[in-house]
Amino acid sequence: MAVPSNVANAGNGSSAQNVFRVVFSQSLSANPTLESWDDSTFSTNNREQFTGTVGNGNIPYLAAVATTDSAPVASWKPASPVAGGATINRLKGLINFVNLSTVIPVAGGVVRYNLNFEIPFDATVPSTNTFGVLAVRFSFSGPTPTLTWQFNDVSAGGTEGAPQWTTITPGAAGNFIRPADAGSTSANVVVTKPASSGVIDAGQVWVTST
Amino acid sequence: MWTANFEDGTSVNSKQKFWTQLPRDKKLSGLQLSHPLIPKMYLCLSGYDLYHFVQEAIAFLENPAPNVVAEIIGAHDCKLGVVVEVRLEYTGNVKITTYPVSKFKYSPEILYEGKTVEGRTPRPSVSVAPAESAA
Repeated sequence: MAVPSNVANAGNGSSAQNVFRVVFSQSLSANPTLESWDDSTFSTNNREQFTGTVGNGNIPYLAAVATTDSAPVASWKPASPVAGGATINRLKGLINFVNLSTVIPVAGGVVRYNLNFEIPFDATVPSTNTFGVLAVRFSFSGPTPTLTWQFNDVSAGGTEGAPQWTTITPGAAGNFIRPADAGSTSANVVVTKPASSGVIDAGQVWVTST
Repeated sequence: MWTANFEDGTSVNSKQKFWTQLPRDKKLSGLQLSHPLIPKMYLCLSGYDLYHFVQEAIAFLENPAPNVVAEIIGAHDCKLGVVVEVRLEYTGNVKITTYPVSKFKYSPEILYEGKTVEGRTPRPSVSVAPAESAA
């Protein structure tokens, strides 16, 4: 198990259930939601990830599907965002978010999801101001839960049938989730945008240290 | 901080117990939240059939420690089939909403029975009073 690593079956072409997950140390009082914001103030959605570009119809780049309860069909990415919460959505604060489960997690419970990065031909490069933060909103009435974010680690041999869950290291010096081309290697995690028109869905998603 | 007042005159607050540790062998007469920014301001619900409390938090990938964004107290009027909720955000904003019981999204395990008062007006009160006498 090591970072950087490819995330098993990440992206729109996948019908996998075991891609990313969050583990809750204590019971929740409601079903959690997956959101994305500019930063840790959780108050704005101004980055290009949310506004999109002309090339993708000015809609959010990042889409997610809840896989806690069941596996999605392949090509699950929605053509447009759904107002409020949905099992599959493009992510933009509290305007568009994903309901992660239909059963309220208890202590030790998990929710699972998959992500897709849509890259339009006119995406800004370099992309330092493109992506914000991925967040989980949850409610509790007892002891405060801690959250552990994990991914199904290809470098540790993880597969859909036998997932190997590696914890994503938090913090400023921690790990990042990055879109990448199919066939990327740990020495060369890059994503190539379309040359002149349209969009591509990143062929892979990696967890990296830089 | 919440304070739960019981029909026998006793009370428990969030410094003493988690909400999920409240006794179930006696009924609540009221539930109140103290405002984090305005001293002696209490948001109160009393006379309802059922009560709940939750903390809403956000954690993000770079910092998975929960960032509590709001405290919510709520109460059910079973006869009217409505839930009244008071949402106290950590920015200081207060939102009061009423919605059908069918839209209640929280676990039934966090509901505690209250001492119903017939003819009570189904709306929360906002008091500026000592915590002990507010609800």
